[in-house]
Amino acid sequence: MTEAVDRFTELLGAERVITGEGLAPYRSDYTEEEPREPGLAVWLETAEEIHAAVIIAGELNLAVAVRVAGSNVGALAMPPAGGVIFDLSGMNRILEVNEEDMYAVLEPGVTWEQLKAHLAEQKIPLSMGYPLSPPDTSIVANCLLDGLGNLSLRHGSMADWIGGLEAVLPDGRILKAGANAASDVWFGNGPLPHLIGLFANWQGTTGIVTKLAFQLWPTPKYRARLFVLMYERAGAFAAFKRLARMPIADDVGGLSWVTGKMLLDVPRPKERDPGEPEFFLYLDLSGNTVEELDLRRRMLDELLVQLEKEGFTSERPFDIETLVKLNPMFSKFADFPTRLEFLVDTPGGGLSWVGTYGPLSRFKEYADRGIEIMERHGFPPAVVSRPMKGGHFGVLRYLTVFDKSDADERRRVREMNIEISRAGYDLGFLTYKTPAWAVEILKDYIDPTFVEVMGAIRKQLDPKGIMAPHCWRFDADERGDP
Amino acid sequence: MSSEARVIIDDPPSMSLLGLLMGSIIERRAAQPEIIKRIEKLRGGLVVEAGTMTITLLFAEGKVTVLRGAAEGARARVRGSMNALLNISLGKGMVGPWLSGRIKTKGSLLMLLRVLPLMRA
Repeated sequence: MTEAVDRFTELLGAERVITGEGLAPYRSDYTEEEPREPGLAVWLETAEEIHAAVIIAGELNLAVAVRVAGSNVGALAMPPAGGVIFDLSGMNRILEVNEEDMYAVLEPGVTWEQLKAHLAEQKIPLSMGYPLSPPDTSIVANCLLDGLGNLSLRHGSMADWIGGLEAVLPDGRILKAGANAASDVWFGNGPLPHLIGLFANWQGTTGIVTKLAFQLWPTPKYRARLFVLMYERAGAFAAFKRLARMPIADDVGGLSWVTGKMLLDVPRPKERDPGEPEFFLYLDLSGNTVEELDLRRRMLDELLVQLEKEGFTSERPFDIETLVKLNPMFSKFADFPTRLEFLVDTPGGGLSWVGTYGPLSRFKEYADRGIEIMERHGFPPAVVSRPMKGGHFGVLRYLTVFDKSDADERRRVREMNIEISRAGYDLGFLTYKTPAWAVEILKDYIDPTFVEVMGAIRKQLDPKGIMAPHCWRFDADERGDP
Repeated sequence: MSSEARVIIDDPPSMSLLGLLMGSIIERRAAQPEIIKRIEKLRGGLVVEAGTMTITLLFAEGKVTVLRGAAEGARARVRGSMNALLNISLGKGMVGPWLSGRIKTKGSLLMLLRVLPLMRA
């Protein structure tokens, strides 16, 4: 490791090479994953530095993991023991905002709150889709890991929002992927082979993205955020299916009773009162005129009446302003991005999840199974879900807050997550931001030729196997985590 | 006495959303001296039924305890949809919904009238 420290110090200066106790923030994440001891972390600020650092890592055969905010909840940003972390949080320039073609070219360290503030300061009438992750997390990382946001109902998951990218390959070459490979406008994959796909969902195993075009959207003039209490989850999922196919909402999300109580300061809800709503839906409606917004609202009212006739009981919608008057805690949902302290700043410090994408036709079945598993393991069933891409699929997530210092609880969380994941795979759901432990289970389900081709691509781009070797580790002989 | 001690939610991890919401509204109201005086004068239980949720607000010794379900011996009862009841909390008045049947009451109207201002957000 001394040689690595010397080489990186020569490149970056001692103040940007982190070792010893300085590595404490890099050893773990929110999850139940056991802490790992990286060899060192380096603070990189330019594509040129990444290029040089990748070459050094290759020469020294060091495992590389890229990290920005460190808030990923799948241990993806934690390299195998002794590896090097490329900290890109300081590489945070907004390189361009193309207002007419609606995208922003970003460096990996640009955060949700940063781009939002920039658009507001520059009075650019465009907006973006936000995830429920904290405001100080990376837009680029979330796109590359194919997360989702509050425009996913209409526009799909975030890998679909990438308009082009530039990446440093494991051998140090720089690749442009997307229309920008041949055009000065980063307008999408373009009528070219979709090489953006070489980086989306690859978890850093194929290279390091240094620039990414993030697609923006027109800002509607009028908006309303509404909440509907649904008494049963079947009703919530029935509403999902209808709403996904109707031009009513820009976003529809569903949160189980557990999250509602956590928001109201109950860190670990125990049981559901049989009379209380099981899910609450939140909906974003918009319009360019008051009449358009009113029409959508009336359509929503009519839909809820129709669902009521079919036996799915709900309360009339509340708008967010009303809820905030009733309890200021609801302001957490008033404006995005938002920091949901009841999930990420809990006394025990642990947050884990199983996040899956899958067909709406099986939401109810998977939710039934997932909730049963969580309750059996003694955890309250915090479920967060959303229809996506016009209803072609959706996200179903199971969240757990726990005490990281309690080894037994960490073990129980892992056992439960494995069971929930397997139940999801059985029903055709797939984990996203898939952690290494879930890849182990996915092996039983995935097409072997898919794995073979994936491995061949990886080998071709990274013959030494230095890039995120702990991720997508399908082959037992591959270099991986300890 | 601090306002925190004025409102006690019985077993918060098992309390319904209605109970948590009502408890938090009353707790915020209980920061005002005139509301504290009002709480100190109240005795007995009020059952609140919103949609299919039921809680009891039990007043005793200058405190309010929020209980799950309908406590026996409650002096008054108010029932309506979640929206109708929360509209009262938003200060939209009770007379209209009461006359139109959206809110139904039973028992001591006097107690109800004394408690309603506590439930105003």
